[in-house]
Order: sequence, then structure tokens, then C-alpha cells
Amino acid sequence: MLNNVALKTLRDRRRSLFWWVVGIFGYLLGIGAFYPIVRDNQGQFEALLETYPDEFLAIMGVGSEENLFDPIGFMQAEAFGWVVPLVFAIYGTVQGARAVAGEEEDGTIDLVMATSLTRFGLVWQKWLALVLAELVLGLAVFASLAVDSVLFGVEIPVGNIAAAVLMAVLLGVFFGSLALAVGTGTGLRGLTVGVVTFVAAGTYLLNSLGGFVELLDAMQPISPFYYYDASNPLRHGLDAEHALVLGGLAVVFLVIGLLSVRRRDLGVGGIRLAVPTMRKAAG
Amino acid sequence: MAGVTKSYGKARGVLDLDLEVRPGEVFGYLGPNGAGKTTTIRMLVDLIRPQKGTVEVLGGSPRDPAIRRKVGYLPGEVEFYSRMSARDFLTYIGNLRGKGGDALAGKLSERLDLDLSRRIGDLSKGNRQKLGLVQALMHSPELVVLDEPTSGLDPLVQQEVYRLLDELKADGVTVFFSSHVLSEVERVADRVGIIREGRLVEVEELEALRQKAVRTFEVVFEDVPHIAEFERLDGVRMADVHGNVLHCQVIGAIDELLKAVAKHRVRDLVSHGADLEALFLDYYRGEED
Repeated sequence: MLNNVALKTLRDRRRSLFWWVVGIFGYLLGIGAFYPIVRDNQGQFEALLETYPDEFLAIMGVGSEENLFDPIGFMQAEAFGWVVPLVFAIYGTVQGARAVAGEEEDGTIDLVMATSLTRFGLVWQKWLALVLAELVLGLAVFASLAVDSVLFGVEIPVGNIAAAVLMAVLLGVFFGSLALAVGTGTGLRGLTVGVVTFVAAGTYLLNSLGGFVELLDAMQPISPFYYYDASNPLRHGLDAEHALVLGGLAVVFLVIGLLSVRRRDLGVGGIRLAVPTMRKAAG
Repeated sequence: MAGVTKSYGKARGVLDLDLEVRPGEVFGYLGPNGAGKTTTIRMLVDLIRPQKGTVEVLGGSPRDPAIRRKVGYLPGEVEFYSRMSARDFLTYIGNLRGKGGDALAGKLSERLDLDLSRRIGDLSKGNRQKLGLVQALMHSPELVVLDEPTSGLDPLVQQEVYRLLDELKADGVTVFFSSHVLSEVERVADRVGIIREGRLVEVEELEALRQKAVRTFEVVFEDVPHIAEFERLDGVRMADVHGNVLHCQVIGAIDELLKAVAKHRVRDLVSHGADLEALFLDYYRGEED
């Protein structure tokens, strides 16, 4: 695990990744356990849902035409409509911001980059680690749905689960790559998390409300969340075009990250922070 | 380095710096904190890049990974992954260089009394500094760049580090190290560069610098001498006679003073060796004014 930056980064993240896996796996398991109750009391739940405004349901990732009481509609409403994409996006954002900016702020970049590692290699391998970590999260979702299917009768075609998981992974990689690009360009982790979280929250709302607010309707396609689930992959399988948009943009962000670090000073933020203590030592 | 300028923020960085370090020499880079030492050093390993001028290291650019592989670097404020063990960290750095050095790392750690099995976060500041030194030296680099290498080390380990530097020099390794402590530069360097406010104010052989340094003398005579006998001598400054005691400072050769003193009967003579400190204070003073 110490052979290169990608493996070393995964090694560093193994504990936190473990808890993210436990969290998403447990959540989906709990939701799955809830399914038989919903299925068996469909009438009561339908009456309850009638009382909610469509806008609220949209924010929860429930389209108005959706059947909420078959396994796919239920999972879409309870997990793939909001929790799953947000988990993947948040995880990607945090990891992408830590990737280069985090090492700069921690000061660890000095020793790493004084070796024969290239800047290109650093950024590219950090990105690879991000993709691998998102895939691990994806596997956890996949495994949890498999268990749900066996234990609670939440039966969804394997291909559709794979498609939905892939889109979640791509969404996470999209935001992770965006954070990587911003963090690599600025060297500032906090700023990066802030900017990318703002973008994520804004585009999430844009996509959710797009169906209701006319002005936003036409703007939906600028939201990554639109590409994540407009085609409803859990019900209809993979939409290759939408997958390509997310994946392609992630690669564009990677390239921006690779280019922006080429000419920049590294770890300068850290040096600035060190100044007051140095002055003190001098006095 | 030729005509190198690098600045960020207010009054930080270096200005129009020309500096050449000869192969195989130990070069001490002296200056007060904030003078631009770290800026210079970080350019040598391509962490930061000059706005003007060129930096050449071992006949190539520090941007070239093959060049950096031949360089050992210890940052001024060395930071590690605190959760890793020291040994794992050295393995990782060795792998990134594509040039292990486990055997030498083991030897160096033993010499510096560093326990590699411990988590870096549990190491004291001094031990982390030792780990920084080990990673900088473990791959037998041709050039060693050390930013304040002895900071945080206790005096015994400092001595060990000086011995290490002596050995590197004997092996023909070029050493460039910064310090704001004069005595350590005196102890190990062949040549010294003094930087103040981003400008190189002096580059000298240590010996030549000593010539410029101030010695103080205290001479106790049997009789009472006259101040005029001493105050106009070559190299003498700040002569002062109180009764039968002469206090004076001499820059450079002391021959004239001794001959003048020898005209009297001398009861006692105390000399404080070449005080480079006083000289440096002169160089530094500009900053404080």
C-alpha cells in the first residue's frame, strides 16, 4: 500500500472509508427492512402522501409520476433520489479537497514533491484514489441492495442496480474531480469544500425544483444531478449519454487540475501560516 | 541560481539572487528569520518557482524528476503523516523516489537513536527532525539541501548531525544548509552566504570571513599605558584604557597590536576569539534599523 500515491491515499482513507461504507450499507439495509411495511400498508401511505405538496416530494427525489410502492419506486424515493447521490457527492467533495490542497495545508507536500514524483503524477494518482474510493462506496450500495432483495423482497433487476450505482459513482467522481480541480488550483482546502458544497447544493435544488418552476426547467441540464437521475436508471437501466456527460466532465476537471498545478507554487499557504511562529523565534 | 527573484506578499522572498555552490563543498546559508532562506531552498527542489532568473541544480533543472532524485531535502518546518509509522514513511518516500535506501535509513536511525517502529504522531519534535534528516540522506544523494537542520535537536544530537555533515563532505557530497545560528555554520561550513531582506549581502570563505571578524582583547599591564599608543593601530577599533587595563577590538591581523603591547610589561592578556557574531550583527543591523 506504500508503493505509490494512489494506494497510499487509499490506505490513509481506509478508516474513514470504512465508516462511510458502514453508514450507507446500514442505511440501505434499514430502508429495505421498512419496505414490507410500506408495501403492506399502501393505502394508508398513499393517503399520507396526498397531503404533501409536489415540490416537497420533488426535493426528496420523488417524481410525481412515480409508483412509490414497487421496490424500484420505493428505493428511488427513499435512497437513490436523495441520500445516495448526496452521500457520494459529499464524499467526493471532501476527498477531492483533501487530495492536493489538504497535503499542502498539512505541509506534507514538501517531502512528497521533493522526491522524483511529478506534479502530474501526484494529481493523477490522487484522482485515481478518489475514483477507487467511490467505487468501494458503490460496491457497498450494491451489496446492501442484494441483501435487501434476499431478506426483504426488495427485488430490482441486477442490471438496473448496477446502472444506478454507476451513476452514483460518476456523480461522486464528478464532484470529487471538481473539488480536486479547485483545490489543486488554489491550494486551499476549506475554500474548496465551501465552493463545491455551494455548487452541489445549488445544482441539487435546481434539479429538484426544475420540474415545477418554469424558469428552472430549462436550466435543469446544467445540474449534474439531472444527468444522475433524469433517466431513472434504477427503473430504465443505464443512459449511456448521461453517464458520458458526468464522466466526461470529471475528466475535464482532472485535466484542469493537472494543468493548474503545473505552474503554481506549492504549499505557500502553509508557509504563510508559519511566519508568526518564526518571527517569535527570532524575537 | 542566477538573477533569481521570487516574492509573495509583503517583503518576503528573494531579490535578484546570484548564488553558486561548488560541487563537494558545505555551504552555510545564514540570515535572520524571514530573510528569504526558506524561499531560496524551496526553489531548489521546485516547490516554488522563480518569477525571474534561473535555478540550476546538479547541472539540470529541479523540475526534472531525475535531478530531484539525486537531491536530499529537509524542510524548515518538516511535516509528516502523523498516523504512519516512521518506517512506513521512509518506505513510502523511498518508493516515490524509486530508490529505496532502507539499509542506510536503518543505519542512520540507529546513529541518531530514532525508533522507526513508532507512530510519527507520537514522536517528539526532535525525533521528527531526525526522521526528516534520515529521509533526506537515506538515498545517498549527491546534493543535500537542509533548512535549519539542527532546530529542535538537543545539543548532543546536534553534534551528531555536524559529524554526519562532515562525513557527507568527506564523501564528496555537496551540502547546502541554512541557519540563523552562527556557531553551527562556523562549525561545519566551508563557505558562507549571508542573506538579509531577500538580498545576498556577502558570500565568503569562512576563513576570509574570520579575517573580517572582531576579536576583543583585554590586557592588564604592570604600568599605565597611554591610549594613543593603541587607538591608531591598523585594525584596532574601540580602544579604551582604564588605569592599567586596555580593552580593545581588533578586526583582522593582530600583529600590530601585539607589538605595541609588548613594549610594556604585561601581567595578563585575555583574548576572545574571532567573534563572527559581532560581524553578523553588523550585517543584520540594517534590518533592525
